[in-house]
Amino acid sequence: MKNNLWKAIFLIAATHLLSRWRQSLISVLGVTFSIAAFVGMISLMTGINDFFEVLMLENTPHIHVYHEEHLNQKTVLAKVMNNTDELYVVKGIKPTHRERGIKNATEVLRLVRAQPEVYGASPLLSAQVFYQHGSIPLNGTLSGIEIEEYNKLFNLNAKIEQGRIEQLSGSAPALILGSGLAEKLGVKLYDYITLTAYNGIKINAMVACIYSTGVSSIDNSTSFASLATVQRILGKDKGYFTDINIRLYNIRDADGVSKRIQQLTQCRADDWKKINAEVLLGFTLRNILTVAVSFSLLIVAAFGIYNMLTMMMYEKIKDIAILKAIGYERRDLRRIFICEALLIGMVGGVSGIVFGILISYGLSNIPIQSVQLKTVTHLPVNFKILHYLLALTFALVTSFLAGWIPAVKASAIDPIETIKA
Amino acid sequence: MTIAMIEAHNITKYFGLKNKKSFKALDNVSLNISKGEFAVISGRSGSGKSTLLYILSAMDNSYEGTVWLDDQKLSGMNDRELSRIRNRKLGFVFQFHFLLPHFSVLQNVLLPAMKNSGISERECRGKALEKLQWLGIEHLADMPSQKLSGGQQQRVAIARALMNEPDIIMADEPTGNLDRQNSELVFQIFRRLRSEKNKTILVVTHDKDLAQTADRVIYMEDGKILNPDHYL
Ligand SMILES: Nc1ncnc2c1ncn2[C@@H]1O[C@H](COP(=O)(O)OP(=O)(O)OP(=O)(O)O)[C@@H](O)[C@H]1O
Ligand SMILES: [Mg+2]
Repeated sequence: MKNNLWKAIFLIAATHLLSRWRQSLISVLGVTFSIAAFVGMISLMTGINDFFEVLMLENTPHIHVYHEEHLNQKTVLAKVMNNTDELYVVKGIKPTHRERGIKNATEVLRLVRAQPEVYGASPLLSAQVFYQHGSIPLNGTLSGIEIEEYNKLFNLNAKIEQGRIEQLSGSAPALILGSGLAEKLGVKLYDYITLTAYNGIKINAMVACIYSTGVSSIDNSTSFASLATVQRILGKDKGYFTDINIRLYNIRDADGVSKRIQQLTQCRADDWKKINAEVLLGFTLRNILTVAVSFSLLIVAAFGIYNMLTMMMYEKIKDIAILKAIGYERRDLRRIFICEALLIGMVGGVSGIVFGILISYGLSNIPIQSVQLKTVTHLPVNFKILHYLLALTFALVTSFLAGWIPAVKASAIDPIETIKA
Repeated sequence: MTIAMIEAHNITKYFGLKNKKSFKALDNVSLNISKGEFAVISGRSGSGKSTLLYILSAMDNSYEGTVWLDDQKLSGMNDRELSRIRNRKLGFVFQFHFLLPHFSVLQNVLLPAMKNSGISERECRGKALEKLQWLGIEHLADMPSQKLSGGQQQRVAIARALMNEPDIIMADEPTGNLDRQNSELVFQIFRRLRSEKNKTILVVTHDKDLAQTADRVIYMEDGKILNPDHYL
């Protein structure tokens, strides 16, 4: 029966550890500490990441299509000279006639919507405007949207605090005002405010809704109106808009679809990763931090195990000699010491996970106040089985590696020398 | 002519590298021990008794010459095969009773059987108790091994050596640490093993009186056997 041998190996390993229970406990605590820290950190860091990801994906399109402005590289002079090698220099080239709008915008929108992966595409025309109610003008952004489509894609309804978005569908200019902006202007629902665009066109618009995203930089500056209203204030005709925001059925397609749109339309199309590059960088930094800290702690724990098992090997040299003399093989002795290492890793890992969960629970109860993000009240913390399994795997792998050298040394001990002494 | 259970041909053993500084502990030693024989190796300290015994007991495999145990040639075996021989073919008893501390008597006796695949645990326990009983110490089965007296510990060590029903028992000064009474008891056990169980027994001892109770005494001096063919 093979399992008799394993029973013996386990029994010997456990007895060794118990006979030196103080040292064993210290080694176990080393693992416990590092695994607890790992669990705590990964729970918090992924919690923060997930929180930002939700926030990010809620408020950003999967793909953003816009007309890229760039300097016309070819000057008239260059055209006339027909690119000969003759020396000519034009200093201080400035762009003329800047056009922000997407060319053939309606056609582009139709094309975008025809892509099978596209769940919806919402045109956008944004304008810098002054909001005025009373005497003080406030600077801000006015986003012209197709209310229904935008609502379908970004769930605007959920962010409305007062009023109903249906009231915007009428032809009279109406606004969905950011809550921060409303507060600063001192306006209430159904008040009228004056909007002034940089070209001097003024419009009176009614506050039909007040919304809040929880992100104060948005709530303090941005308001929404129908596309037509913004076209009017900018003095543009129908079919003029600057951006298309796209949501896909599956966010994984973003990269491919954005490239295809770029080819089909000659507009610039950025996927969500490009749009949120710095948020994603934050994710990476947090992940690196978690791995770096946990890894260093695990290395310390591994040295603890290594030390202890090396001591154990010298201390139990008689046991090793006896076992060899009565027929235990090198690999059996190796197994005994590996088993000791794994027992430490197992006990330390499991207790570390328990402590880690307690730490995570403690963290999740720490209240935080953020002016920027009003929707968070406590530290965002994840509780995921996967992290705990990962932690256990780390604990076992680390202790296995730490036990390997003492195990090999133990298996190489010459019983004769020990028995003679 | 009886069949040889232990057979050694031209064993030479050097300690250290094989140059001028190395020490020749065994010098062309040949030896035959028959099945069911109780032989004793005697001789002055440093004459090479232990060295020879460790070679014959499959613990040392760096020597010149050939060793046969029963029908198995030890020379040239790898570590694994030698372990198997130590586990099944022979039982070894040390001078210091070398039991695992923190283990009970029964657990100590069980250890060789746990390594030996092919026996169920229940069977192992039965066998272990039977060995202890045969040695009159079954009442000590659950005692921690450290709490036993020297003589008791040595009997437990013998029980352990018998666990896998080996044909051969070897011992290196098994009475070196025991008083007169216990020493005699141990030798009495060896004689019983020979007569009741037909084991082949090879024991190194300094004790001349006890040596005389064996079938045969082999004398060693300076790495050589003085009376290789002498039978008592
Ligand atoms: N590892 C070693 N390295 C070098 N020389 C050794 C080693 N082991 C034994 N020797 C030498 O080999 C010789 C034989 O040693 P061995 O232990 O076999 O003697 P012994 O007959 O058993 O002696 P004792 O009765 O004292 O146990 C001794 O001279 C000893 O010094
Ligand atoms: Mg000796």
